[in-house]
Amino acid sequence: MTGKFRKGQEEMVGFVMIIVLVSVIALVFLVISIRKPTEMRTSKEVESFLHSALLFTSSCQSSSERVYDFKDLIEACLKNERCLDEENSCDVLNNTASELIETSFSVGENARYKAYNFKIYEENETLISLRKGNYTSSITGGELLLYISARNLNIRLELYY
Amino acid sequence: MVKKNMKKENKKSQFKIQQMSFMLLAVVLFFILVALFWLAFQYSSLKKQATETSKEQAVLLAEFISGSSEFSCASEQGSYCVDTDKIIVLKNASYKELWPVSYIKIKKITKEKEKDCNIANYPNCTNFNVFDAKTESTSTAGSFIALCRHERVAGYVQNICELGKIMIGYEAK
Repeated sequence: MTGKFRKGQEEMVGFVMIIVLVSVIALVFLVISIRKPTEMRTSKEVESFLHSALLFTSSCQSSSERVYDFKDLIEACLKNERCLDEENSCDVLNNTASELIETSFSVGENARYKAYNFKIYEENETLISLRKGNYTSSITGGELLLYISARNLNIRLELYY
Repeated sequence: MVKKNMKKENKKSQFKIQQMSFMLLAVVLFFILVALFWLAFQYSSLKKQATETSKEQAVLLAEFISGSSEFSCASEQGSYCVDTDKIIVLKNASYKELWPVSYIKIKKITKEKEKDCNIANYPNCTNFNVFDAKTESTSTAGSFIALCRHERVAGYVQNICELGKIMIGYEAK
């Protein structure tokens, strides 16, 4: 009787071990697939947005005969300039960028895009960084390289969907 | 006695084989479930990618049309700049021979209320219905563009650019 019980117990232990082993393997696969670095899928739409946004005429004027476009505004921000109305050019740059992104792409919990991340940066310095919403693992976006005031700048917009 | 023992052993072995087959079945079912879960996950991401790719192709078509000399700005901005001064004059010109598209619409991206553009209300309007062949379109392509015009501000002629979107209606093959 005791021998039968022991045999039964051994089989149960074997069964549990198999289940545990399979679960561990499945868990390892799951963790690997989740932790896979999320790569941005380049989007022509976002690239066209970035190219067009650079031409956008901002509310910042350097003089009565010159209104800055977005590209000029980046340059003005790099030089810490002020607009004609004494507003900081970097503040105008931040406001203009967020307004352009939010009117062009629907970003929100129930919208097509769940979050965005916009950055103007060079190798070791970030000029502006804007982010909104909750990040997901699927990213689409675009990046442009700009040469302004002898500096190589990157403009990057990531949209999380 | 020996026969009885043999019968007992046989029964025991049969039970063991049955137990083993149930175990194997359970493991196989478990793997099938995992595979199904993985396939469903892969399929949804593949579908997402397919939608994005067809959109990309459509955007390229819109970029090609906005880069043509009938639309583009005189400056070097290429296919990302559309001259609205040209568009308001060329509105309703026949593009049917030039591009096999159903319609070309340009929309200013703004929080303002939508208003169709004509010579009388330009530039205080949002929508340019550039061309409509009145044919059915099955797909729409869109690309962001800068809508630029020349305007006199405080006595100086300025190049004013706003953000817009060009939308092309075409028949998907």
